Amino acid sequence: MMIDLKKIDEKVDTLLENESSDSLTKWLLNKRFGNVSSILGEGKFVSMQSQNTPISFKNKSANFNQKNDEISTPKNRFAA
Amino acid sequence: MIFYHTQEKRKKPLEAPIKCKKDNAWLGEAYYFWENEDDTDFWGVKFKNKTGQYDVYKTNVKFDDVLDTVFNREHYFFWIKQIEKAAKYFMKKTGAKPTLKEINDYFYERGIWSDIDGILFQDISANPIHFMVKEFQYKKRIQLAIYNKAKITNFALHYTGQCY
Repeated sequence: MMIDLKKIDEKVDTLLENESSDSLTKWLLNKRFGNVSSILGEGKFVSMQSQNTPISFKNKSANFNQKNDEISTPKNRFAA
Repeated sequence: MIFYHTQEKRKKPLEAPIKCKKDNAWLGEAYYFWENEDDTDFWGVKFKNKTGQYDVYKTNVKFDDVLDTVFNREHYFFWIKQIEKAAKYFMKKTGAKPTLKEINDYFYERGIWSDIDGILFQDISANPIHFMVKEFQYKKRIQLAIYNKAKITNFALHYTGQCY
């Protein structure tokens, strides 16, 4: 038997097309931080924007980089 | 086709290969084999040295439904396309680059590789005597990850090597 590459290619396309930002974000969060549904419950991820505040924040996407060195850690933590 | 599997020396030799479940395994949870004996020995000395000796097992693998990303051009470009397609989608939909384990888990959990028995893959060896010409990485280090255990036959101890 030969591997049907076209079939697998289509399978990946269909899979990705059916994946929403919510489903993929949830899958990734579960992989990185455990079962987030047990903490947050079921539902959609909604971007919350502050409207009536004098303080403005840069709109950023979810931070998945907790294990990376990009995370801002207080300097004294390194000495602990 | 013949491949090799390395483990620590045991009192009683293995009757079947051990499945690798480590997060950093290139191709996810699978039975891993080496194409060449020199890579097998290097792995034994470097990583399977707890008992001071390592066992090299020889086995036959039915190769018909293995995705051969090393010697088959079509398979190689197909493989790259799938990995990058999924990775780009992760970036676009979540803003995060998937890790090695995540892309493997995603493909495995979604049954993408359910129609194939394994993947033949290559990387670059860290063995200082792997390349006989200075600064010329002319030789592949080839590994086979098998997902379908039924394709592994005639698994037997080949020889025992010394780690030190």
